[in-house]
Amino acid sequence: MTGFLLRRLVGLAGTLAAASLVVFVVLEILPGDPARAILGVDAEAAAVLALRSELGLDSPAPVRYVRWVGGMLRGDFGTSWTYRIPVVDLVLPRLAVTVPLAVIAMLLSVTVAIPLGLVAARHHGHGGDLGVMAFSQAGIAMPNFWLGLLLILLFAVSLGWFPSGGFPGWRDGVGAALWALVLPAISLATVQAAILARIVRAAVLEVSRDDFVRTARAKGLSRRRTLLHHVLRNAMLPTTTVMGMQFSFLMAGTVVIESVFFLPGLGRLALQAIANRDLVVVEAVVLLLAAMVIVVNLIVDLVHRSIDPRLGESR
Amino acid sequence: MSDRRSVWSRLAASPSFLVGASLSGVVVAAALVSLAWTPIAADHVELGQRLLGPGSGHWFGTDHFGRDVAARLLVGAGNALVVGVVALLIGLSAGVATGLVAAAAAGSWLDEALMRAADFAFAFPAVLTAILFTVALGPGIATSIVAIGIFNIPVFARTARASGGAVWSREYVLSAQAIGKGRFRITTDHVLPNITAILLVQATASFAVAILAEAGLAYLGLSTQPPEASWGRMLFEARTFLADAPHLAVFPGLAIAIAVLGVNLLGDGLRDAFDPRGGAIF
Repeated sequence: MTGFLLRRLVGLAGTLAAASLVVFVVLEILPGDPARAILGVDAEAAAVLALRSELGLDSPAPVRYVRWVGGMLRGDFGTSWTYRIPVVDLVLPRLAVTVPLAVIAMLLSVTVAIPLGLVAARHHGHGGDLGVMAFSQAGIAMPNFWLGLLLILLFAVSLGWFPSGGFPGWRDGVGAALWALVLPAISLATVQAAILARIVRAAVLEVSRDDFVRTARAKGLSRRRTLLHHVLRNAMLPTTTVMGMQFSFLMAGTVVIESVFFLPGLGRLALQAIANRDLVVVEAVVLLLAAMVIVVNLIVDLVHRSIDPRLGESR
Repeated sequence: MSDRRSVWSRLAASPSFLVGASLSGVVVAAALVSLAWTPIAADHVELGQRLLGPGSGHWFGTDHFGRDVAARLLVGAGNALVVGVVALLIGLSAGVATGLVAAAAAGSWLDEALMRAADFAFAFPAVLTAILFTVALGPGIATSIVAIGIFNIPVFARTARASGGAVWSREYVLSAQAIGKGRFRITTDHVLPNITAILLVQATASFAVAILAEAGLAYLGLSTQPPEASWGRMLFEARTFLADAPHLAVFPGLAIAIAVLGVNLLGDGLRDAFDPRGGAIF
């Protein structure tokens, strides 16, 4: 296990380094002068040069890359060109919105998808199955931000049960903060649940045909016990793989959903930074979001291994 | 020949395929019609007619500039399809080429390097790529096409690598190798034709994802720019008028859902027809 973990951590470091290189190359080498963009097209050349020097843009690209990565390793993501404060101070409060939102959405989607998938598999080809598959098709076809708008329309505008947007922060009480995340989380989770329910259904049907399931039933185990204790455990293998892949979509989804619900998360910070052409902030946010996807995929791999020890040394 | 006929007969008997083809046909027809005709010009502003509900001389009402929602939905269909098709072609061509090269070089360092690169690319969902490219190139329909196209590349690379790899281990490929056919000829003559069905099914799924992604990017202001009509942008504009004109938030969303549902059902029907034993769920 230690060897496996070590190998995966080395791979993780390599992937993160590659991600940082991609972000840097795209943002700093492609056309466009940030200093010119900040000062405007009419700015004098001397002012642009002075700002380039102040932002450290006059050094060669490789030097800037090493300086940037070195800074991040020390926890220094640079200083925002717009807000003139350390990027870390901008990002951390936003993480306190985006991460809980993504985690709640993921938990919600798993909580809904596993029972739905089980019901569909249990009633394969009949009413329950068809109902779940219809929900799944509709959920996959629905853009999450549209669902968000419809939820606002119903539960905020018409019924007034939830706020239509905004985030009160965690300091004024966990209850109010969580309440503000309910509709955004449902918007994000529905699509994920629709996809995951299909995967659980397919995996349970696949595993149900295995010999060990027949043996379990022949030994006198009830249908329910066989399903929950034997079939579901084995069906979790493909399910966790898909959950890992879904996390990438979930992080992408938070960018849009934060915009729909006016949540002060990482995604909105990135969009504001684009508008201000604040490259340091865009770099940090994009890299952070990509890093979260990469780390979650490592965690999925580890969970995979703990569910199925056979995967152990073959990797 | 009989195989081909049985695929067609399975398609003709598949409710998924028929419903999907009908819905997709409606969207394509809307896009084509918009090239020649819309009820009123899609960008015709009439401030005296602001936020009218459905009916009242406008099938689906008017927006905050008094523009006809139906006309904008029709034009939006065209934009959604253009982004979907071009992004799909980028992903399909680059991804399949990558996957086929990897499959032909199975087990080598090249195969390993290409597939690790594809895995890595998954860390950048289309929104992140679009954010990166927007800073560099500015927002617009081209930015979203490039972002979604790049996102599609590893998807097709993985599909082509996996299914192409399976074809490379078949007897007829071994025979072709034995008679001295080169890797390139085997790839074009045997591997590619045998994975076309799988690629077609993947293409429908990727096309649906591309429509959703474009709508999301347009909502964020990273894709189609105003005053050009786009379903995602229409939903963004509807957000401000939810209480006064809820219909603005309903019709563009329905249009996206119908387009995506249609393509997904079409893909389901194709998959069942090509693999009647029942393949992967998606």
